[in-house]
Amino acid sequence: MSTSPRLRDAEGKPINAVAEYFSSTPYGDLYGHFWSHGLVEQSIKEVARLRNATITDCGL
Amino acid sequence: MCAGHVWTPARRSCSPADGGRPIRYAPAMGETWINAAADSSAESLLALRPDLAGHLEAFDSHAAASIGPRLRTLLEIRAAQLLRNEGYVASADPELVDQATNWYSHAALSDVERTSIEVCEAFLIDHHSITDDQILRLQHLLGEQGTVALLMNIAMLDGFTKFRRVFAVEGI
Repeated sequence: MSTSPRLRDAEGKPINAVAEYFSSTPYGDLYGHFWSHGLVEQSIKEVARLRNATITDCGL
Repeated sequence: MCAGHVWTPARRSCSPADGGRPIRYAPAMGETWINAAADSSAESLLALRPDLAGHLEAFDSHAAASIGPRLRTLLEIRAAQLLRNEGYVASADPELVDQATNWYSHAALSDVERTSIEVCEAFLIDHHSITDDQILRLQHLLGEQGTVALLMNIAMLDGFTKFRRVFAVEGI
């Protein structure tokens, strides 16, 4: 389990390298399509997201 | 054990004590639950949602390229072993299967490969068990962006190996 922010810049400040990585990939297209289209209702997706976050101990 | 049910370890199911229909947790590989799929391949399953499959393929290809084909294959094999996708392991290069299986001591693995498989294994078994030391070693070997790219590949393999295993379709 992380005891501190694990991704830092050259000066030791916490950075969001995850967001930097995603911005350089087609992830936004996949994520946008997943959340904006499809057969599963938005409320079901959100409930599943919250349950998944709870189980995996994700703060989002 | 469920109340009122008998545990049947041979079937890995919890069936009703009155002799009712046993629970099937997952079909055998090749017996997918999705009747609309043309066959039991992952491609056939994803073809049911073509737009989503296209975006997924584009992203997954990008993620795989960011760590290189050899490391990606080693991680695919280890994920398939841990998530019991026996068909993929059986079809993989036996030498790479040996390396992925014995990652902790196999001489053919680089430090990057060994550490990556170590973290992959921890991620799949219990992601809370990944330590600061393991992440620091990855950052030393791969840098910040490389560490994120590696964990993204592991996350994709974790999720989609399970996705395919639940539907009992072939492929990683």
